[in-house]
Amino acid sequence: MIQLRYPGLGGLAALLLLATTRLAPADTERNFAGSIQLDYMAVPTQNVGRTIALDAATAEVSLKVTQDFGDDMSASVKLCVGCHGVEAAMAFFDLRVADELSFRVGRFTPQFGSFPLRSDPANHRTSDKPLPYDMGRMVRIGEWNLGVLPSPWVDNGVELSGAHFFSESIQLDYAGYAIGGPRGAAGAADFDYKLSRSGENYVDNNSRPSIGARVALNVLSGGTTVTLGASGMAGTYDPQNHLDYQIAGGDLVVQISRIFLRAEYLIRRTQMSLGSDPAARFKYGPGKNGAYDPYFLKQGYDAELEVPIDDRLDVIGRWDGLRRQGNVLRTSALGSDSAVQRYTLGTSVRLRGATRLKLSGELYDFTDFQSEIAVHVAVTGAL
Amino acid sequence: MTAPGRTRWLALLTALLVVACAAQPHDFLAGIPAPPPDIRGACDLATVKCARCHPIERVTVYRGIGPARWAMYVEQMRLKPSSSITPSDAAIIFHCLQFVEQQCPGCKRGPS
Repeated sequence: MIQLRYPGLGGLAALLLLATTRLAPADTERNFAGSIQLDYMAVPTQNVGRTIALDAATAEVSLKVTQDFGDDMSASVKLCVGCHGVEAAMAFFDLRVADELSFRVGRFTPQFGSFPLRSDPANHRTSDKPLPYDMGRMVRIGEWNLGVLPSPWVDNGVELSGAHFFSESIQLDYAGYAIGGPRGAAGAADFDYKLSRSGENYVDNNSRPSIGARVALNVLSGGTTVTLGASGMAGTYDPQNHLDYQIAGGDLVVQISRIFLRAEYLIRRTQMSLGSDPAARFKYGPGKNGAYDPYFLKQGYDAELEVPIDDRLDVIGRWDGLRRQGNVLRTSALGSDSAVQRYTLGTSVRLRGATRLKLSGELYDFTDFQSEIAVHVAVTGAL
Repeated sequence: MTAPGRTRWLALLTALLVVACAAQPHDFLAGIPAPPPDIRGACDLATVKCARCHPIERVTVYRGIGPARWAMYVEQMRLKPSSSITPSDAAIIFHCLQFVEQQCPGCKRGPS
């Protein structure tokens, strides 16, 4: 098997090749798109915010090229730069048999939940992501180890999907996929997101795919649309396939003209390695049956209201949170039942063209730590 | 959060909703005087459908790409999960985008 030592460079080369290759224009079209966000995050409740968060300035950049090969086949390559450096966020082929049946093969974000569709910072109005999908901007990131399923989750695999309009007002979507899946080290107690990045190669760590599916019902009536979705994913995440996980999610989006109410709930059950001496490894002892429970539950929720005020200004109110239940490593600062709630009030102001200024304030309410405030100022633009 | 805190949040969100419902929504035709009625209808639909996933200006910034690329974009967006864009919607949205492009003859982003 060929393993790319520097997959980011490989993706960059593919992107440049796709962008510069001259093809016959008869049945091919190529689009280029991109976005930039520079966000400054301050944690005024701490002298040095870096001790509990990836604060200060971060840049997120994405560059995407899509090539159509006629009406039923296309290829997309997208590179992203974030806190993690250059990563290939897309490198896939789409083959569409009909609206009801499409195949996607390559490196992509599998369909799970509602937010990942808008995960590009130029598409959503807040600087950061909802806590269930947090990928590194939450306060106490180290203690919480990100959200339930960091977004955009990018992985290698194959996806089958489609949509069908039963009438002009009812649309049903579905998707099923097999991907490499989340990763953790041997003897792990949780996912290690860093193992999914290019520094560790884009290769499955356990030779077993994770599988997942999503189904969503959309009801349309005039300018109002209601979407109700359910998602699931399961597999093993350690190299020996001893540790399993299951993730389930539900999402609701109500759109009334330009007003959006979005709500999502995710829950993940993750098996931890007990090791040879659980008493030394874990903070809490065995249960009433005398055995250690190897599983923990992580739940995440998000409710968000997005309201356009005028031609330039949108306002966002958000309530989201995480809860973790189960044993923890002795080194963890969390307890057996820890939670965080976050309250966000933000605004997004269109400056010029597709450039926006985002401002938001966040109040974190932790069960295990003092409350914290985070303030974001960001400039976002679409290319 | 305390009960008075929750009440304040609820009051603020309610006030924002009232303001939003009274405000003129921004759309593809902002700044274009007296568009034909069929265009107004087409762009009202396009505004609602496109705003589902991204700000409207992510579309208007591409004025000048030509009809073939617009057709590709609209088809790509129609095929996104939960796009709520029917095939007939796609034709109407394309009609709007063609008009918007014609209103900006100086916008050029390369041949289609």
